[in-house]
Amino acid sequence: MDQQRCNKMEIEFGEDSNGTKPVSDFIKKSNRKGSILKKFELYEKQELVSLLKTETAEEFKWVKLKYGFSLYEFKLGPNRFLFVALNSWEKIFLVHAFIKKTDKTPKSEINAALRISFLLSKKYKLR
Amino acid sequence: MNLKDLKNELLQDPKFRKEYNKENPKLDVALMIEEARIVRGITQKELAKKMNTKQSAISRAESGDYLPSLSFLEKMAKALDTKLIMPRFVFLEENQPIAIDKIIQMSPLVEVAKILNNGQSCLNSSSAITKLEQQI
Repeated sequence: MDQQRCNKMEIEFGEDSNGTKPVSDFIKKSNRKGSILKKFELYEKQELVSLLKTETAEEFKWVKLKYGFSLYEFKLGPNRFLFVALNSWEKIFLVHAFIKKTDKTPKSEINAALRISFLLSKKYKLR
Repeated sequence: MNLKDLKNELLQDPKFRKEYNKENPKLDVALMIEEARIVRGITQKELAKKMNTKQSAISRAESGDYLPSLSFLEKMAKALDTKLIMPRFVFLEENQPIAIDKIIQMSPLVEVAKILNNGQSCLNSSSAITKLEQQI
């Protein structure tokens, strides 16, 4: 696991064009929302992006090549969260969440994440 | 929308508020372990190696599904170059005045008071002192 720190880190929820926020909806539906929320709060408090797992993983390389920004993934129990980050790491935007079923991140999940990431990339400078 | 907004929204629900505010030793210990590891800046694998165990054991402890044993936590404290504060029953802390009374009872001053009181022990330390003063 990569360990990276910055001076401030805020976790935000990416919004789709129709106003829905898939990750916050995912958490609301989860039956372990308490523990997810507390873990997120810990990450925010420790200003930590150790969450990073897979910028280098095969499935994520083509995203950077094609769109110029990176998509990251991190685990929390059986849940997987996909996010993009500001250049400074000051903010990360959770764009997609799903429950892990296969070892490789499915393309459909990446595509769902990309739709929102793309909207964000117009507004912010993503790394 | 950020994390705080979501938290506030979820806390509107009384059921969730109860669950969130309830003490959950499994989760609290899991969060403590992960935070300690993050502060020390080491990975699960590195910590596991220091503790002579497997990365999966650390991962399990951080999952919040199981409560690691005290000996495991002690081993971890050693690996993290720190000490573990042992848990304690609350009533032992609450009854501290009694403990102090006992210490006073055992102190030499009270022994003197006992002799002066014809062998009767004096529970109240201030009355013991006034009696002593009177005798002197």
